[in-house]
Amino acid sequence: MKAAITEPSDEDFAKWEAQLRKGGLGLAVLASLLEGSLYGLEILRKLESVGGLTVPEGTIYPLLHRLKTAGFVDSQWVESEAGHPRKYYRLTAAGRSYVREIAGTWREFAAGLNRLLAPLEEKKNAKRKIP
Amino acid sequence: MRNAKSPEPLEKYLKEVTNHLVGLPENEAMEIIAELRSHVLDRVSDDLNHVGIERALELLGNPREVARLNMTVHVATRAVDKNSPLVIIHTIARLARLSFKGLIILMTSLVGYSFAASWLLAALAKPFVPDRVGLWSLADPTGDLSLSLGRKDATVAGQDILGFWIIPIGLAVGLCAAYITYRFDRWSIRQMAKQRAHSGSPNI
Repeated sequence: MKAAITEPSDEDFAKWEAQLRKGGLGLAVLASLLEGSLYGLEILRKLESVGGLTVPEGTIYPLLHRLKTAGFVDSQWVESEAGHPRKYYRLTAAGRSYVREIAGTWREFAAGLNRLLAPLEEKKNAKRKIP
Repeated sequence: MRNAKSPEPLEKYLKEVTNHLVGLPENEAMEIIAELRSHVLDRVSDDLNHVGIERALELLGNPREVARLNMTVHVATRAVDKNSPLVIIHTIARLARLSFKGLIILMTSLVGYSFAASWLLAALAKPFVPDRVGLWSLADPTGDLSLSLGRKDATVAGQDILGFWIIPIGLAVGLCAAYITYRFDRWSIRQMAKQRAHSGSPNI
């Protein structure tokens, strides 16, 4: 008996994307702090402008709290010129070495996946060559 | 840490979040509120008016969901490194009030600990009331087994299968079941802390 073949739905794609985001969000937040300390909104803006990642605003602080509890980031309240205090986050030594480690794994994984997906690109190029 | 510039809709929102942070230590709740206030004031720094504030609060999300997400992550992360079974059980009970997933974990955990407790109690009670405690094969045509504690009616018509072997077996099975349940609880707490924190959506 042949299984019914269905086209992947938008929902399937959304689920896959959500899983991917779940796995990568922690790394993305840690990576946003590689160049120095930032406060919550700056992290969100950096994720969006540099990483193209839109994160619901209410979710960033629980994530930062978890990363802090894990010892990957540290935080400090600083009085700002804006007239209200801001909580700045910075990478700890453990956080920096963790980013380095998972960034390597991430790159290897992405490179392997790209090699597996290469036939898709070859097909696309072959189609372009046909007059 | 209320700011003099902090507008009314923001304070109303933060009060609602605070109301849902029930049971969280005061310093942790205050820290969450202070950070949310700072976030909104940063968001509207160039546009400090009613519409700007409402828009910023909308982006932050439903106050109840924001509180619940923060509660889950705070409660779970606090217990992640703890080894005390009492702390773990207390945490599971608190998570059960915050999400359906937490409730499922609590129910599974209760089944596990009840199973463990019944074997341990049977093992410990056997030397004192040998005729009333044991793994009884009931005089039932279906041949059902019943782990009976103090049930005279079951013992009258049934046969004690394990006899005094229930002491070592009960201790071993009970301790193993309790340990597995404990490990399951710890794993679940860790997963909840991770998944909630990385969910990317307050509604997940």
